[in-house]
Amino acid sequence: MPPVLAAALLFTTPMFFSVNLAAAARTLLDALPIALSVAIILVAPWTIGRDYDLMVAGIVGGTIAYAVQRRARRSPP
Amino acid sequence: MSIEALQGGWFWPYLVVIVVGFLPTEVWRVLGVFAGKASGRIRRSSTGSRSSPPALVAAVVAKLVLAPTAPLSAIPTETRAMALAAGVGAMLFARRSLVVGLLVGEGALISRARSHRGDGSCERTGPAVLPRRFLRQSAMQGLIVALVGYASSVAVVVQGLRAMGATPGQIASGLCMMGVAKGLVAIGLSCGRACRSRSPGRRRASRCWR
Repeated sequence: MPPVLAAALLFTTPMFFSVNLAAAARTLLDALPIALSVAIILVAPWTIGRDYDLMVAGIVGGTIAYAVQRRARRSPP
Repeated sequence: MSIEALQGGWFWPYLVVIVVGFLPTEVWRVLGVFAGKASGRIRRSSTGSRSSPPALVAAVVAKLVLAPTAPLSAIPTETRAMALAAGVGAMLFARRSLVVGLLVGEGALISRARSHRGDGSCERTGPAVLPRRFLRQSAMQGLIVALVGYASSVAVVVQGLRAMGATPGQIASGLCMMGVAKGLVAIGLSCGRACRSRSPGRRRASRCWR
């Protein structure tokens, strides 16, 4: 298998995940957990380390976004 | 360990394929379908936290793109990030069509990696081939899910079997075996009692990530 093709095969998983995520995120509130966890992963090598960054991003990013979404739904503008 | 050392039993390579390329993903798929069914029953009426799955999936994507494994890591980081952005942009441009986004992202990665000359021309590979209402949305989505699930395992299985010294014929029959096994699981999940009315692929795409 040519290396570019192998790389493209491996690239299908993140590509499909991100396209699916972006297609599902209709509002800014939906995009909040995505942006938060990507930001956490980006700063992870200098703060958390590479071992637990996935768990921290999922839990912290998801919890913050959930709290914000809940507050926004309770008090509609 | 090599293929020759395993020639004693004809089934050993197939067993390796099942253990390496099939069980690690399919076990979690089956568990996920059952767990999704259970949790859907429990908190259908509650507010439902829909934030954690997107956060986790986005984190996985970020890690896969920023720190990928061997064949993909040969491609520069900015090319990977740019292909991802091109795919997402094309998906938004093409009325949120997942097929277009996937194709454009892959095309951007391949064309950029092959040319190695940065003139930012990868957005033009895209939505010209866009089939508007070519197939039903659900059929297309199932096809993509199956393709993505298969493609991610193919790279692993091919690399593993080649590292063991398998011939191309042996790799091909191993892949065939993996396809049959994955198909059997999908048929079982679709027809089983756990979710008779909903197919797993559609369920995965429409419920868990939205």
